[in-house]
Amino acid sequence: MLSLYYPAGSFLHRMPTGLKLALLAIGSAALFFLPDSYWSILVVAIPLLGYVLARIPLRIMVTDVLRMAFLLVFLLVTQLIFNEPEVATTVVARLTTIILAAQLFTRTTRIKHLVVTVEKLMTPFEPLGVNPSKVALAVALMLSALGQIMGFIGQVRDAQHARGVRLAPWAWVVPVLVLSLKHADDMADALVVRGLD
Amino acid sequence: MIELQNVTVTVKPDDAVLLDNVSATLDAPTTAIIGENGSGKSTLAKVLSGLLDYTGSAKIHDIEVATGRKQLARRVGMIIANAAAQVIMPSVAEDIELSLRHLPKDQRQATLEAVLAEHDLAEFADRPALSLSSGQLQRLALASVLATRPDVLIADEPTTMLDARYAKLVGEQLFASEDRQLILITHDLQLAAKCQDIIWIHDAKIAHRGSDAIDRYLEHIG
Repeated sequence: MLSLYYPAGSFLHRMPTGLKLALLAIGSAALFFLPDSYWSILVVAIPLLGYVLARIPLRIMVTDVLRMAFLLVFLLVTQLIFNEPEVATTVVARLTTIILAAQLFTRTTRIKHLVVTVEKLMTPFEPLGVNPSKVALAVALMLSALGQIMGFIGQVRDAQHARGVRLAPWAWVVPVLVLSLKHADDMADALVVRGLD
Repeated sequence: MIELQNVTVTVKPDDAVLLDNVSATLDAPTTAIIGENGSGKSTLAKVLSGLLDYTGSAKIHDIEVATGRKQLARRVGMIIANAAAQVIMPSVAEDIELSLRHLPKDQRQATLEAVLAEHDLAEFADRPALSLSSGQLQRLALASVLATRPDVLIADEPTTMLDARYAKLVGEQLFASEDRQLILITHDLQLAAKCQDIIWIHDAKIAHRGSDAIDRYLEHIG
């Protein structure tokens, strides 16, 4: 089950959402100026230090890191095939830092504050036909859907265990896709009945 | 008041008839719709909520549902059978707040707290909605819909996932307002019996209507 916000009341929690978002964007862009080197792995310490400063328990930090382990291993292997080890290390270090920083952002930011910030950021584009409320709602829905999909993965694995079935590690993909599509359909109904379509 | 005239719903590819030429005026403050699975109850609820295309006429407060969905959005609330999908925002409080967007900002917090207390959800306010049990999600879905103070509430199986304590609480909340018209789609015949009007739907048609509809339905299913 993906839980996003972790209430801890640290200065990172209290920092204005717009500022956090700007730091995340600027910091992520800055990482691409990082020279290719084994030392680049050290930048991963920045978001990890952020977790400590945000007073987020170690177990949550470890969970967040482990959650992306498969992706990072896959990325490292493919990078090692096509690039020098130093380049591969830098690419993986950059992505690990960005993903961890984004997770830290969601751990320290309430969705309602993010929605309000996105709405404000989109307001200047209103004359161009952009509906700020709908963009903000779409962001909230996307974050909710992530949690829901994680729940479906657990549900499908439980169903496989309950039947004593041992399937290939990727066998959950199709059932999760079907459940996600059904959920998307129900969610569309929910948006209509709540007057948000 | 709800007026249905020759409402028919068919679905492709084989043009299966989900609702067959249904006509009725629903003007009682509380109406229960009962019937077997697949008889057309939820289809009728979806027609009234603007979720399904239909032929004929379905009007709420003299507004045709098919063309007046935006006008009706704030006046008609619906609890869909899959409560988990009805919950849109990540946390309990945020989901209810979404329903309070029409209120001035200074009133939202107090209203939110009142809604949380009324639905016995205060202790879950900051919890991720997805960590709730099915029954708690169902109560959250109801709280989020009732927070908008709709004139008409369409509730599709609102007590299915609830234990006896919360089924009683939700039952009381559904019937709490005299200003709100309730259309209750349910298999819970005790709850249905509390409604002033009862409609039994069978094979996509109204099979019987009135206070003896439950008895006729029970006779039918043996």
